[in-house]
Amino acid sequence: MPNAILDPTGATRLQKKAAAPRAARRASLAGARVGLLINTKQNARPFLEEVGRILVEDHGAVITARHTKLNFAAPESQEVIKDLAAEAEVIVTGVGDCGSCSAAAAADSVVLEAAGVPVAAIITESFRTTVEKMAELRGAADFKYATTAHPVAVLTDEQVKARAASVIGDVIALVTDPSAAA
Amino acid sequence: MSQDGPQDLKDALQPLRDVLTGDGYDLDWALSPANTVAVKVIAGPDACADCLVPQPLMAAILSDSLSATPYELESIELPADSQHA
Repeated sequence: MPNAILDPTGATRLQKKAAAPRAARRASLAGARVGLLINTKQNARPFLEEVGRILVEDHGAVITARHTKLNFAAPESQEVIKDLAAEAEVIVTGVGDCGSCSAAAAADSVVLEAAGVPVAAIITESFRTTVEKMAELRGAADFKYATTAHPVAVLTDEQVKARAASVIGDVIALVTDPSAAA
Repeated sequence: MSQDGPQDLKDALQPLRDVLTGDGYDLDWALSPANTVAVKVIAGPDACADCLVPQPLMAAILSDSLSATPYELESIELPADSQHA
């Protein structure tokens, strides 16, 4: 059945919001409590686990939270966001390799940032438009994220590890500010 | 509906078509004499039913896509088995 849209901006259900706050950054990840928000897309778990392993072994972070989304297409509940913000100082989430999961990753990121937690969302190149529009609608027009080539779902274990290693620099840059007070 | 029409309309919709391709979808559309565009999202054989963005977000992206053209979004039709249909 056709879905007629009365307001082409979608504003009746998804209005643009005022500028969303962005969390303060740490100078480095040494000693940082890091959480992984895993969206259940194929290869998302091994991808994020490898990112986490590198952050721990090479950058001194500690993984203190792992949360697996129940629905990759939907933003997390306020309760989950609150728990993540209590358990981790930094969140890495992904992998956004479809329209709805990329949009949900952006929505989760904006809320976590507002809760004071810097986020590195990992999205495949194909879904830049989706992420940026969702972030804009959530009040974060300058939302920044890490990208990797599309697709991720079909990669082998070794390819996933290589991809994870390739985004580490971007992940760290997203959640730290070297000029911040240590 | 079809994928025909003025070149500027086709050019404006192409970026979203590229995005949708990643999830196994494409677009058809119909342009009215009043320059309004009815858009239909077409599911391919391997389309991911849960992967389409919510309709309001799709509308926002489409409206942005058309903002530099003389055309306005009239409606969107999603596949019947889409999570958001």
